[in-house]
Amino acid sequence: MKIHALLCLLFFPLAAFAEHPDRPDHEPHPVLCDQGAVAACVDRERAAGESAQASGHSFDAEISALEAPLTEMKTNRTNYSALLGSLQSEQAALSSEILFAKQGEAAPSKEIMAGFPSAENFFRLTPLERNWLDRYPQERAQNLISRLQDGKAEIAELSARIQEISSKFDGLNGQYQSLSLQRGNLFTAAQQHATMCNGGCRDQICPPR
Amino acid sequence: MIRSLIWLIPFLLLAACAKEAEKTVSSSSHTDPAVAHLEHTEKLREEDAISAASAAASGNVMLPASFAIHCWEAEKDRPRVREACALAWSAVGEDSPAMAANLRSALGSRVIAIAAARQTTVVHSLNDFQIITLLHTLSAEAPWMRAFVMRTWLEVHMPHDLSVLISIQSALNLPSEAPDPLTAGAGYAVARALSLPAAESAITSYCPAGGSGPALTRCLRFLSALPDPRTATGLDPLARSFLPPHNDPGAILFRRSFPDRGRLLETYY
Repeated sequence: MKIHALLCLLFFPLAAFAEHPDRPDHEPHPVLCDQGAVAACVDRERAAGESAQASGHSFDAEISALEAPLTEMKTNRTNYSALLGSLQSEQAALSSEILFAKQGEAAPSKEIMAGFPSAENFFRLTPLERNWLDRYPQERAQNLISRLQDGKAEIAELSARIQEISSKFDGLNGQYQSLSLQRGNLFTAAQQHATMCNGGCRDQICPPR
Repeated sequence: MIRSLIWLIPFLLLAACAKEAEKTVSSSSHTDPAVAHLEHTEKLREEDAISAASAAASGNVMLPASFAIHCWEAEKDRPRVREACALAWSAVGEDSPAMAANLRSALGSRVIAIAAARQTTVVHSLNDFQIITLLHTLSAEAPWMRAFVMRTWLEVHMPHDLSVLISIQSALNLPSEAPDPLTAGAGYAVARALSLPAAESAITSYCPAGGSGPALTRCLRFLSALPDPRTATGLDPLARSFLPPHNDPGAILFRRSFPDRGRLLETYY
């Protein structure tokens, strides 16, 4: 979009000048002004402007070829980072689960009377309530620990992948920025040449008195 | 031939007699042999009586109310035997207003208080003063036991007197951060039932806004401890408003870690 706007800016003054090189709307300069030199300057600037513009456009294909992989990398990096975040929060939750699994949720109750069932068994608790008061079996703690370790490996793998994408992205983005800068410089130069065509040459050679 | 038949007659008569006697024994005693000797504990040594009572309670064997009442009367001088009988009765005993009255008369005793707490009908029959006494006697027990008693009592009672509410709250003495979901859940349910502002602050302390990771797990533990069969959804609207989105990663992890509670929470969405 910017490029198109720039091109319009460039083309209109250049085209206008090509049609009316002697600027009929201006008062002619006095005898001292070298009209031939002005025309030569205009021709030179026009050629230079066209060349700079063409060179700027030569980057277009290369720049747009970089845009697709850059967008894809950016999306992947965002998705992987979100996944990493959720894995890290799962790790924190797992750690707290392991703590519960090892300690049990409730301290065991006191003995009611020698030989009688424990209070947890004595009361008519629902299976769910019993489960809350029971200490978790060792296997459950072990399962949680394995899951924590698997999660750690997954986090390491994901972090490496994110780092790799980031470094690739940075390299490609650097290339993209440099090409965009070169193209921008060429278009700026083309604009400056156009300004010279559009009265610049005349003002330089025949300065108004 | 006739002589041999004559010899058979007494045998046949004896066999019929034996069968009849067996019938009489089984119809006169409905009790499990495991508790038969608890009919007259006074004939047993203290250790043997206690051991028989504990075996009955452990084995889920029904103790006839008549045995328990007899034991209560006969064992005034052996309080441990009396307590053992009360425990065995409260574990799997026949419903008995007389036994309930016996337990109500001795709520200051730790073991009797536990026996009373165990029997729904006894808890339901307690008045304001008695429930406060029971809670005080259970003050040194696991908090879930008091919460359990309170929840049972609130099934049929609803105190409106402010001083009673304050006394109940004080006797209930649940920790501000309950160590287990049963206590937390029952504590919340009690606070809700008693219309105490503590309910809202309790749920907020368990489920802070935007909690994730361990904080969310703790919140879900709490929410899963609040099933209330008396409400249409099984969870009161205040608690329901604290449920995280179904697809929240923390909620998914919770359902994976605690399948039974996870299934329960699923029903609230």
